Amino acid sequence: MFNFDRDRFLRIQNGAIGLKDELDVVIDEVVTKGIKNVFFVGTGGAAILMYAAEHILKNRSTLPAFTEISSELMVTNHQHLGEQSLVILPSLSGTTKETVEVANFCKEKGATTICLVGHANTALTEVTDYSFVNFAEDDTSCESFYLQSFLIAFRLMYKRQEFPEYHQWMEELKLLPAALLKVKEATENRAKEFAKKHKDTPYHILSGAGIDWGQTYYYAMCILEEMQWIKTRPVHASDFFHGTLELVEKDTSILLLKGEGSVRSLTDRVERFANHFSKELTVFDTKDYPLDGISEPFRPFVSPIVLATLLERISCHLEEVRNHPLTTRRYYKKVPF
Amino acid sequence: MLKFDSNLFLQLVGEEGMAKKGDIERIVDEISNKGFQNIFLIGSGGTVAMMYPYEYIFKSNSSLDVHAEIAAELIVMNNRHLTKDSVCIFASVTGTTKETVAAAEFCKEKGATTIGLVAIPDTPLANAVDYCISTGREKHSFDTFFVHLQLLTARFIHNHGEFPDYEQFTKELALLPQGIVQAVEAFDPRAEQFAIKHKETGYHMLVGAGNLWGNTYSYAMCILEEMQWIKSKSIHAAEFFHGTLELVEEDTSVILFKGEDETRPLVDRVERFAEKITKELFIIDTKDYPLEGISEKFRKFFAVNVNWALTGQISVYLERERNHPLELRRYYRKMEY
Repeated sequence: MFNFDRDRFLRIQNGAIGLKDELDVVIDEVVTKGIKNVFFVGTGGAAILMYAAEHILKNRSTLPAFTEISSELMVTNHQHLGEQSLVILPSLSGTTKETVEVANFCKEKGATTICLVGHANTALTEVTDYSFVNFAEDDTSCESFYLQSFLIAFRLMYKRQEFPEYHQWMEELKLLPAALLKVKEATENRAKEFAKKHKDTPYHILSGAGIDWGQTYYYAMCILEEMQWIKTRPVHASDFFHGTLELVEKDTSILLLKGEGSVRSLTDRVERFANHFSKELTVFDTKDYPLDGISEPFRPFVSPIVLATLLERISCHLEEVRNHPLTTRRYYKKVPF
Repeated sequence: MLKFDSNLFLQLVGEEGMAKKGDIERIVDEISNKGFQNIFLIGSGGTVAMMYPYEYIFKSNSSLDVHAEIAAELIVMNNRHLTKDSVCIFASVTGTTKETVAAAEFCKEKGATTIGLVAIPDTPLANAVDYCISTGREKHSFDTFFVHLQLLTARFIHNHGEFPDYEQFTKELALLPQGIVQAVEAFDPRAEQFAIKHKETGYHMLVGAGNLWGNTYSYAMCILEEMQWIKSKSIHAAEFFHGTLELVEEDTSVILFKGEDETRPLVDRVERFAEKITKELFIIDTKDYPLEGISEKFRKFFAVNVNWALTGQISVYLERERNHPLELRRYYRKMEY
């Protein structure tokens, strides 16, 4: 695989799963103490990656879960945030200004705070009650954050007797990093072709649904826009038919991200439409990948992680063929705002 | 003013819209007395976007548990919070939006209490719900829906002991249509200039937050994309700096929806950035309009109504300048998908 280190990938993702025992101790303690809700709070991409865990909780648990953007949470007067809130704060650098500020804000409200970071002894670890460190970088952080948020979400449900298959699922989750590596390998050629074909495409519509909506939105905003300066339109597969469809012409690039489970009917519908009206439909479907060790009932949970892992291959090739490093920024951290 | 009849607006949104106050209070009081666990705000496309301001108002003013959900997704998921003790509020202008009608039936099967906002009574949505509030006419129905949602929201929060100024709020709400008419008169020439200048512009970025995020999302998707076939990207002011900013160049059209709630500093920040980079920044700020009779503390709630009416003028001038009827569709309701 181009520009890819297998061992490093496995080390990072296994590192995320390796946090399980420590995380369990903290979650158990928090649940025993009593919580009323859980907040996932972050800035930019880190917050978006938490949608999957929120989605799982919403549909499997009666514990209220919220995903909030740091800067917004600090100015609004969210009535549910309080002493009995558990707040999860992901930030790869551990220094994201707004995330550090919101961590303090949540502590002042009396909430219990946990940060998920890539580096120890950073501003964020200083101000949160508990910190979990797993080194990752832009190309590996999505999966790492997803895995950590899953460890938290499923442990919460387990403690609340809402997920009886917990132990089997956790055993299977340990096999995921190796399965993801195979996903990358299987996607490599398609990713390379996609990048070559679309190196000059100035606009993509991206669509996804359910647990995969966050990943769809993330890839559009944080990779294609931020790191490649390509215009995008991420649209939820349900909303696609309420406006965005009218833009579709035969040369409109549509990137459809399909997961599994019951929301599939929503992405199927977009696929049928797009197939008919555009020649530039690209579908990435998690069903195409075997995912050794993950049994059928659990597959719908891992689709955003599978999508993140295969999309990283596209980013890697786009960077190369477009001669546009993923790290180049015009403004971010350069122009004050 | 192009296609804006002040008297008709005052009659439909003011007199006829406010005439439902008694009905709405009876409905909400009956539900509050019976007791409920949470509130679901449900729609498809523009009508779910219409619910976002009210989700925001609930979240920032009340400890009531509130969820805004896309109709099509809700029915394929198993949201654990949706039960017989839920109150579900739907909206559909035509009363025939397939997914919204299906969601209303789905929620009724769960035993939830259902309220529908429609323009035309005796339509599928009107018939599917326990309580129907109709505007009577399609013209200005969204403007009236906003008024009805304000009455519903304020009454629910009032009955929960968290909206002490309810009576004053509704008295001032009755004065709002007059203030909106004056705002539209003042804004109309700017709308015309915008449309003339941007009739060929192929892409707009729309930024908003708080109460106005729903309008931001909706204007991009339901007006610019659906009704004018212009590419557009709505982005929340809190997320703008985490990806989309990198697309801004000196000729990028950026439209800011500014309101007066707690999130205004987030939009100010985007303004400070955008004015440095692009020459094509267009700001629609509700603060520019006096709204006689409306107290300072309520202005933030009404930004949604004011902004909706103002942006409506942009739409009719775009229609004229671009010679592209707002009703024209390539695909929607023309085929099955």
